[in-house]
Amino acid sequence: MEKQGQGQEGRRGECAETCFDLLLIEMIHLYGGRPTQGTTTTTTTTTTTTTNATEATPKANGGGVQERRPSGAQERGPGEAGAGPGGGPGDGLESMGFQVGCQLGERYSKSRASFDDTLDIVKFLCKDFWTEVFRKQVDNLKTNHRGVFVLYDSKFRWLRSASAGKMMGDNASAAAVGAGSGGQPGQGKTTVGDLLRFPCGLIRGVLFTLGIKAVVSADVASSLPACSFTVKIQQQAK
Amino acid sequence: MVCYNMYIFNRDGVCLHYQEWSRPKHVKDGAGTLVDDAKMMFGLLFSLKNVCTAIDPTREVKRPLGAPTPHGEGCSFRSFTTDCYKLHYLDSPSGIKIVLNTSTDLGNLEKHMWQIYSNLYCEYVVKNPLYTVGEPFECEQFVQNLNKLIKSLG
Repeated sequence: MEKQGQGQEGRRGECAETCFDLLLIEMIHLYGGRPTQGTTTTTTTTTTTTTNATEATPKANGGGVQERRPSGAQERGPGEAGAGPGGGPGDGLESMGFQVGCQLGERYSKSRASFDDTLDIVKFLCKDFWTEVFRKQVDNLKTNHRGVFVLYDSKFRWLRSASAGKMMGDNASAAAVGAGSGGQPGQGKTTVGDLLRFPCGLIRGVLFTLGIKAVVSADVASSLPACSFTVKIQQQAK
Repeated sequence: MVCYNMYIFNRDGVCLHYQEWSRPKHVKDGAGTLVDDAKMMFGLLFSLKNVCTAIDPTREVKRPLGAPTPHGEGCSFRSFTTDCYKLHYLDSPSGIKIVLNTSTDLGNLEKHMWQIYSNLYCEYVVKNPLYTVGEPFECEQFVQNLNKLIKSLG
């Protein structure tokens, strides 16, 4: 079992990585198929706090509890319109990732001076943020200089134990081989797309905190555990 | 030194994984189909374990044949050798049974069986987010690393 710990102002918090992996799996099973509606927003908000706490613990709460964003519900509104297939299942995961991303973005950029431009922000995302969360940097960053960035990670940490495979004696259609497409409602199996929803929200949240509104989608192009995230910038607000 | 095949069963007798590297005698001449073969293997393991517990000369436990044994009691056999092959067996605490058939010249593979269980099964199958526990699996990473381990044996 590996431990990932981080020193912050002299205090260390450690959490076994296996526990974190299994928690992610359960989170996807629980929230993967649930759409966010008006009535369930409160439930999602409360559970998001728990997830945030769990997310914060392995990253070592330096100075006590992080304060939640007061306008959490407000932010989810515009975000949802832009995120993925509007109102489809699995939006819960994406908006949870968004919340966490917002907070982590502030946390990891607090010691930095202001950013020069959009490219600088995306570079921060690829280097510093990725190192803090996934313990490595993004392998390849492509841009068309018109607001579209593609982040390619050849060994995405959260996919390192994932492998596709046919079920013995079953139809291959029931198997969990999915590549980046939104999960179909009513399907019991986890697809790769479900696994990548939370990271998409994470990226969107970080960019939002730093003043960039974007739409993030993920794709497993060639082989697990390589994956790429496509970021389309909609507008900037300084 | 040849490894013939490997079965992985769960507690309920479901064959989670079957892998073969060399099987000179075709399954049709033996059990009939792979499904029957797996059932026969599980039946053998189950009965053998019960018989071992029953004829155990060291512990004083009166238990009727067929009654479930609580943890800590009961014997678990490790391997048996015939004149053609050797069967290695590992029964994990969670009920996962790993059976490996090899040629007779291999020694004690207990450590390797534990490696298969902890480094391969637990790492690549249990922690695989795309896998539902309790169902048969064919995870790529598990198969690749298993082949590597088996190559290093023989």
